[in-house]
Amino acid sequence: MVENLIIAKNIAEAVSCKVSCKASCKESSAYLAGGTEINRLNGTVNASTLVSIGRIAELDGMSVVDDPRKGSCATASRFLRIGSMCTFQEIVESNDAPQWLKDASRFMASRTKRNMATIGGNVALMRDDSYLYATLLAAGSLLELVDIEGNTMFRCTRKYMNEHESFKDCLIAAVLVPMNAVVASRRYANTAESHAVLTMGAGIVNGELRLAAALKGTGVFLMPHLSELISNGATEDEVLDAAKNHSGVEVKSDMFGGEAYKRYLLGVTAYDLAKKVLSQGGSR
Amino acid sequence: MRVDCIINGRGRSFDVEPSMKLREMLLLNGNLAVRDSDDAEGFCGSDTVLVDGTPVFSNLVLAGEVQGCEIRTPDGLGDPRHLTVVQQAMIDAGIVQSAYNAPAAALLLTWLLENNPNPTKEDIKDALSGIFIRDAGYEHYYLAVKLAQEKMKDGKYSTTIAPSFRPECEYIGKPMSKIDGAQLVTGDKAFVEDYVPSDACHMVVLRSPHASAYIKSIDTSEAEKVEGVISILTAYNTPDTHYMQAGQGNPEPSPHDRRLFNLKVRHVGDRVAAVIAETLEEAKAACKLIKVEYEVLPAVFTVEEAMAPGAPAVHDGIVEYRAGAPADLDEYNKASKDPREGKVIYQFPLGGDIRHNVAASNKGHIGDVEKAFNESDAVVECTYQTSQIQHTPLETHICFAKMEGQRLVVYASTQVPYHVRRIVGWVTGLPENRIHVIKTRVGGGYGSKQDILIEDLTGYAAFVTGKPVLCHNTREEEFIANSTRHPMRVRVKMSGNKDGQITGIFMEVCANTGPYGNHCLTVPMNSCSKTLPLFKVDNMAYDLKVFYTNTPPAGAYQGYGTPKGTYGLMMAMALLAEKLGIDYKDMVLKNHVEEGYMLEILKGLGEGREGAVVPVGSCGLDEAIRKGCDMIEWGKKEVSSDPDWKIGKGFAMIMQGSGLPGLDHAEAIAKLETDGTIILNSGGADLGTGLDTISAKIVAEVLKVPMDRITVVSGDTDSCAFDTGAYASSGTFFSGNASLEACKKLKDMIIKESAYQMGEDEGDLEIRFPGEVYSKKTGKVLSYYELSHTACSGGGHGQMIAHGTYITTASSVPYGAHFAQVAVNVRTGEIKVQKFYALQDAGTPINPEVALCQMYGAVMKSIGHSLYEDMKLDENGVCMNANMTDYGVPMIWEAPEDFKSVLIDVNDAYGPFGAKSISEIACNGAAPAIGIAIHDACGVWLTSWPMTPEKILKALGKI
Repeated sequence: MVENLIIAKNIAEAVSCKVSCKASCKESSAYLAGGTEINRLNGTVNASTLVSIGRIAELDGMSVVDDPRKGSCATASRFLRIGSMCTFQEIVESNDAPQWLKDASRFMASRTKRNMATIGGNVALMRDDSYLYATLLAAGSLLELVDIEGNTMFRCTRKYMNEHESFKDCLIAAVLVPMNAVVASRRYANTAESHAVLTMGAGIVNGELRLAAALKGTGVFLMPHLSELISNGATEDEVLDAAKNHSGVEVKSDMFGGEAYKRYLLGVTAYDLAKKVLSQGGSR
Repeated sequence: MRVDCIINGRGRSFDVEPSMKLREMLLLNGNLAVRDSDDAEGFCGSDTVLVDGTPVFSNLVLAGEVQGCEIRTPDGLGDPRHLTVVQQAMIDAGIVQSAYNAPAAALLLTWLLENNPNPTKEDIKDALSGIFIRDAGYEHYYLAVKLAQEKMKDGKYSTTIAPSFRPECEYIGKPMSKIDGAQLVTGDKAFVEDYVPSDACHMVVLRSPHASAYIKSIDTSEAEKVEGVISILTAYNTPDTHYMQAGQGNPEPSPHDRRLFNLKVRHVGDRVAAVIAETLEEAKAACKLIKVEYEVLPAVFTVEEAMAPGAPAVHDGIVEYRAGAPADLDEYNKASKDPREGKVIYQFPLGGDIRHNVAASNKGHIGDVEKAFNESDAVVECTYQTSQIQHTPLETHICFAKMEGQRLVVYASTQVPYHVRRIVGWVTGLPENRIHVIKTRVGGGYGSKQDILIEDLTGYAAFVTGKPVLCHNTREEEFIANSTRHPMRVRVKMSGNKDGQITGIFMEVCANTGPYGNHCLTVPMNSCSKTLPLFKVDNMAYDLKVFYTNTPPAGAYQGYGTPKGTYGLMMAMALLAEKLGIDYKDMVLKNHVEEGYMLEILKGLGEGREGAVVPVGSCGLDEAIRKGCDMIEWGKKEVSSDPDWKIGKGFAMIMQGSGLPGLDHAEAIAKLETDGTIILNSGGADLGTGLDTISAKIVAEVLKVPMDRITVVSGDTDSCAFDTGAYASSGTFFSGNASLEACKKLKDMIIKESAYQMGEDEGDLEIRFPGEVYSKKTGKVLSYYELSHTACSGGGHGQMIAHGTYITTASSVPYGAHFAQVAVNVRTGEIKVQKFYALQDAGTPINPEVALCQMYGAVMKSIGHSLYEDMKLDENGVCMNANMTDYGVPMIWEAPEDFKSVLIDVNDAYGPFGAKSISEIACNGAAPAIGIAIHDACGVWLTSWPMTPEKILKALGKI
């Protein structure tokens, strides 16, 4: 039940509100972005205080920037910085956003929802049916985060995924996607508007094939095993076999599909997407 | 917190709680057209508004976030007397039907055209992608945009909206605005929720967490202490009256097997208690404090489990019969041990055996199927399984009831107001004269509002408390506590010869009626009675059994049992054709019935009674099949440029009925008012399908008056006369014929009174537009105004009021054929419906544009049933996907890219102006057409709903 709603005017104020809530220990708090998850029936975020970040100008807009990490583990030299409050629809309509990101944003079938849902909100949730995370991960995207002390830091999407809990109080200020990346993605769902059983992204990061998936019942993860196999020239049958028997990923049967179905989709989609990005100019 | 904003151009200020949603704030402002279909799921789009020019779901926005924003809502567009071009175009295109989402759609299309005056089809799709339309499909939305563009540009429409029929008629068969269109598209007061006063009490139902359990005790003491609680109802303080919830003719072919509350719960979601409190929050809070002790029992969820030896009995109480009790009933009842089981009371024998979970059964045959099977060139046998499907009307079930003096007034969104009155009378003990049921507009029914699912309890609650009581189902309750489509297992055995002649058909139907037996016999019977009569076959037999289980309840759903039977029979016929090496089309053409063919099979296929053997009447089946085959280029193999996608074609012939001859009954009263206008009181229940417009057109046509001088009042049990209701495709045929009868009689009265007033012979008089009587002999003219004024002013014989009744044994059967072209990805299993052509003989389509949209809507529903929709229960009977997103209804992206509805012109002998039913039949063809097309595409037969990518991959041996 929401007891407090704070409309933050800038990042500092948003962070400060979050700090206050944390200090009080009585209140749970969350940043409120587009509202399509927090305000939704059966939404997964519960907080008594919501800090609305919808009016923070610094979180809007897109611009091209250099790699802010100065090559520490660079995935590209230039990035498109997308403010975390950019909606899916703004990305679709943007002249700057790469086509692969527009395609992935269109996975959200409802225009009305695309008008509301933000890239930052989708990243923060990192749901097992995430529309964007697997694709951003496969692209080697970075996140611009502001921690609870107001420090800005940049983290790659892989690190953010692996250490998600440790970033839970951070405000996502922007998502940085590499310019000129070769990326492709696919989504499988019962209907266009249903939750996805699988969303997969494939990209070439630092010359290496990177495959990432959001799989219902499992979560978001990278698939280095399949990436390596395909990079080494494995046949489709070998990839399918590997996906079928790979014990590194726990796959559960549920109402979205049986384990065999999900593993088959992982394999066949990995193979197809890899083929596609490799044929578009990426190297192995 | 304070919110200042602009709503529809006017500045407004509010004090809001932090948790308040924008929609709640708008309701406080009186913007009632911002509705809610999904409890803030962000799916259906009923709550769409524009915030600073951008469409958003107002349920997903906190009110506090719109400080300084400009908001537009659907009710800010135009009012019923000043429609905008877009609103008028939507009505004219025929898409404003049950219309719960029509205002939101009007807002979106307005926004689209304001921002993009020349949108492409993809642009329109995108704009509507957040709107769920269940009734009319999406096809005519493109037409509505086109019409609006034309009107804006040229001041008139140049596109033909729909074909016209019966050139001799002025109104019948012509596209015209639906008479309730303006009220609905603007979001004007129309639905039950619009008539609920702010001081109404709220009722919340506590539901069972167990699929089967005895209630050992209920402690309401803590709940009663909650402030605002008026009353808590349980099995311990409500009547021990057995009834059932199906709105069917009395005596019903369904057992009376439930009470308001039972001491045995039989499904997850079954009623345990109901709290009536001053506010919804208080009722919910009190519900949580009720302590219930259960004795959990083993449960059964499938027909296989229900029929297994030693299976736990869902009902194990005393069995009674109102008529036709078997001689060994006393012995049978000795097995009943626990009074908490209650009773099962059959109105007449239905072949039930509750100790073995059989709620009803029936069998019958013509000829000798076994002999036919033995003597034929080929025999096929296959079992087909259908799933549990929810209607998902946009308006969830809602009822408001209050006492007015000694009378109980019930506002209901129902297809059966008179059955509501009867059943509320049963549970309250009130006679019918003390119950007034007001059917409001219905925001989607599809059969679910043929069942009296909440009106019984709401009516009772208002009666015992004396308080105005509102009950409004959540979307989750729609899934777990309402009726659904019966899951069925249909085994078909079919034989044929090399010349294509089908020699024998046997259908074994095992249906799952869930915990209660509403419609338990008649739905499964329809899977035989509305399918076998398609075939000119001498040897046919059927054997059906209906089982009680502990799943969520089943009941009536558009198409009734027919979609399931059609799926089995057509798939089996395609399988037989393949086995015989014959083209499926040739086999269909050789075996379908034609006008005059005597339908012997109907003798056993009544609604629990003996049916009448009748010949096939008007029949456009052959034309539908041949025309559809031409349209889809049957026999031409399509090849995709992507080798992973395989393309195939399929089709199915279909039929339904037009009401229930010998059972259904309709009444109408036509009154000439004192100014010469006409009010028609129709017992019929328009559930958005245009029945009131049909009645108005009949009045206009017969009495030769303009439509704006006619008002139709319908579904009001005080002012109208009895009608069995809008189900079994009876509306046009029965209620329309009653209106026709009333108008013919009123016409006779007008002539007679005119003859008296004009001093002429009746034989010299005729009526003519615009509502006047003309003497062919003298040339004198008497307007209806003058006529009626004089008649009611002491100079004549009083007001002219005519009463029409319609009953019949005649049967007007609609026929059709539905065609699908699908593409199947053999690597991923994905299925796309590329083309769908629905061709139907509906007799004379009185509202052709509305009829076409009903066909689109019904086909979309059945595409959903065939490919996506499925209520999934866990091992404890809990529905895991009781929400819109996970359940999987088709929306605009799932619509076939090439989608056509075609009306085959046939004039029926019995329907009003030759009309037959139109909508229900359109649910029957998609499953077999798609199933056959999938086989044609990739060689696999999918024998269960929904036909999913996972099943494709399994059938292809990929997983």
